[in-house]
Amino acid sequence: MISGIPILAVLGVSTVIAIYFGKTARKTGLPSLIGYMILGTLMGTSGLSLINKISLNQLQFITDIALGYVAFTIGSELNLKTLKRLGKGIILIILAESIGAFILVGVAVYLLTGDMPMSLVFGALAPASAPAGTVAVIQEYKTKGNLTKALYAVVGFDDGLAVIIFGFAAALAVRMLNAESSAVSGGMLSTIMEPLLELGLSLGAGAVIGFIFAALARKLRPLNELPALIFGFIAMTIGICIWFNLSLILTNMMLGFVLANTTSPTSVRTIESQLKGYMPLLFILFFFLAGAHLEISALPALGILGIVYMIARTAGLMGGAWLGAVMGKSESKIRKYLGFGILSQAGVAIGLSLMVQQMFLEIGSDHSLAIGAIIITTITATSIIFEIIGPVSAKYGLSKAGEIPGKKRNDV
Amino acid sequence: MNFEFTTLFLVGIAVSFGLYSGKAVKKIGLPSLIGYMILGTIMGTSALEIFPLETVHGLSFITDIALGFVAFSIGMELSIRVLSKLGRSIALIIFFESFLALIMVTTGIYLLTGDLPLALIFGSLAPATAPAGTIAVIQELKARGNLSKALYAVAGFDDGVAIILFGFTASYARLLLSSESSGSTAGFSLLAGTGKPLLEIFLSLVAGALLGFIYTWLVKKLQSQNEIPALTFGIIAIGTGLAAQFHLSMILVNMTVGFIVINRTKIGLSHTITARLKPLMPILFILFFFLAGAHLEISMLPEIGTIGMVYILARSAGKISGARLGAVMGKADRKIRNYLGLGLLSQAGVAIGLSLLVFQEFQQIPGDHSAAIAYSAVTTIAATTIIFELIGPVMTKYALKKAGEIPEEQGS
Repeated sequence: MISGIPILAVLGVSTVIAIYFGKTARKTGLPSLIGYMILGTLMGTSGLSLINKISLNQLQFITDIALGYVAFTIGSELNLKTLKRLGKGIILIILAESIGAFILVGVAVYLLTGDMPMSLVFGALAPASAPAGTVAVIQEYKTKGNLTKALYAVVGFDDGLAVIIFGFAAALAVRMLNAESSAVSGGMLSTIMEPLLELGLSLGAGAVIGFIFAALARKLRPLNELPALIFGFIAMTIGICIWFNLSLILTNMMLGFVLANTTSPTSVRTIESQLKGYMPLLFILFFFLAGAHLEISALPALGILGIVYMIARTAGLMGGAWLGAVMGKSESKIRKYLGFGILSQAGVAIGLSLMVQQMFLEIGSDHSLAIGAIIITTITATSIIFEIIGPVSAKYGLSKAGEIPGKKRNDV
Repeated sequence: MNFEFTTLFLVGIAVSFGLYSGKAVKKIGLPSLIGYMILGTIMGTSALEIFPLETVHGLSFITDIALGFVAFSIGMELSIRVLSKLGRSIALIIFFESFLALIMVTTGIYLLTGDLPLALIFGSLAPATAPAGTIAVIQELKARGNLSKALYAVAGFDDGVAIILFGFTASYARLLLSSESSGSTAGFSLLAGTGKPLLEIFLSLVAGALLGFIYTWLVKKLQSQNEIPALTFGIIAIGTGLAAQFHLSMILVNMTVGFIVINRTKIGLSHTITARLKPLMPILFILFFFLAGAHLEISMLPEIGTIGMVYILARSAGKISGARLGAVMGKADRKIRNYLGLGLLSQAGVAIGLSLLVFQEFQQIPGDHSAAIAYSAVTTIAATTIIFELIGPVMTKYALKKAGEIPEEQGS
């Protein structure tokens, strides 16, 4: 912190400047959020340090609320009719891209290091995608079409699968490390049950809160009170997620999903249009803070391991998405371009890697501590790259698929 | 973690439940804010203690920025275009009814309590009239004539004068309190005593004007309306942050921003800005009255009762005699002179907004005295609003009837 400049003033100045950084980014053909992130990096811990770690922690709730709104938006875009039409294709894509990333990264890291537990953990972290970047791009370019719909479904639901894969793989890795250090290897079952429980509880809690919310939202008059109701429920849901360690994304997504499927399309439109007025502000704050969190100094730690991880993850996600689309006989543009939209990696992956570090700290062997440290630095470093690549490639895919209005489809 | 849970979860509960307690109260004819307050009182320090004070303080970031929005939107009521169209006698009436309400309430409360800052604050809140009640009565009874016209003009436009009077009076009270809390009166010369407050008021105006010009300059160039919330948030955050840093009045700074914006943009654009901000207001109002209720200590109620009585009597006396004085000086016709003041007693939106500003800003001044004033202002205004909303329309109807402006065929 250079001096006692109040955090509020810094945030205010940043928001205003961010609008113009966003515009500049757009002029060069990049999504605006790249501009917000660059500004955040300049102002944050890696740059001028106008925003320090303490303030970032205080502002965590902004990121949480923004992510809650993103997840809610995703859910509200997913009505059962669309899902049925996309149907089997979507499920296969989600399975294939998540498992593809898991396997390719696991194998690649194993070939490089010969370290089984470490490969498992890296593989486990690979499927987690960050929905905010993709959703921000979709809203910024007002994209429309089947690829857009499929992307909403995939980035929303794959969080669930990522949690499960992570749970299983991490449990296995813990067991191996425990066996190595001949510690008591109890609780295998509970470590496997935990992620399933988390998934079930997230969806269940989201559904229950969603039904209450939808019932209230349908009857609420005047309509200008809707934003208050939405804000109240999203804040409440996030609070519950943090408290019970549920998935913030899945739970809030269910909230939106239940609403979208129990309410007349016109009311859903009203709600969405009211939300859209505020999403740009939330996106600015979210990506600005994400940029401020970035520690550029972590980049050199990328190393060969990081590069291998990135290549394998990209190949796994894109190859998996392609394979899933082929098996599900999805239309050609989904097959070709969906993979481009799911590369972002951010908060969820970093959160999971922190969890790994904690778990491995408890095992306490030299090997586990070493893995914990490597995981954190590598995931942090690769997140910097993926957070930039992800939205850019999402925009590329959507543009190639001809879903950005005003741009002709040019993939012939 | 625990802390985060309490904050977001409780904020969510407060907003969503508050919404409905407001509706419940409205059904029995009371303003909805009373419902928000009651819920806050139930959950707050006086009863269930679900909402502890630490949580409230953890929210100061949200409440700061939110109050900045309220101040900004109040400033946007001050349109010179509209004010300058008023006739001479209307202008005189507005000036005198506002000014006398201020003087009489300040004097009354000062005689009761001997507390000058407190008296000034209540005085500064007294001039604001709520036009909605008065106008509803005129329209319902299809009243026609000079008194009806004058009522429209005075009730509709006295907010401007009320806000200006408030801005200066409240800033002055705030400075009295700050100098009192900064302790030693030693070396506190009379010159510094009056010079510093004036300087701070002046600087607040300058800072607000500067930000206002930057805002209008930028807002005209925005390409998308969706960027308006982001820009507004940014500018208000800067204003609020600067005010905190340099001990300026957060109210005056942000109100001046709003004032510049309304007077330097075309009508269409300022309507767009207002419309964009409107969905936020219910959230803010709920949150604030909830928090005010959470702070309320039931044991304080008798004291509020006495102050409230004096406030109601002094305000009514000030409005009625001030309107008469203005009408005499402006040579308005006899029925305006005799009855206009009776139609100006309603109190709601603006007074409530202003009391919230006091609530927020005065809590931040160190010392028990300013905190006590903050609670007392917001609770008394809320309580007296009930009374004024009950007697306001009745008095208006009486005045119109006496003046013979209710068509005979209507009188059933």
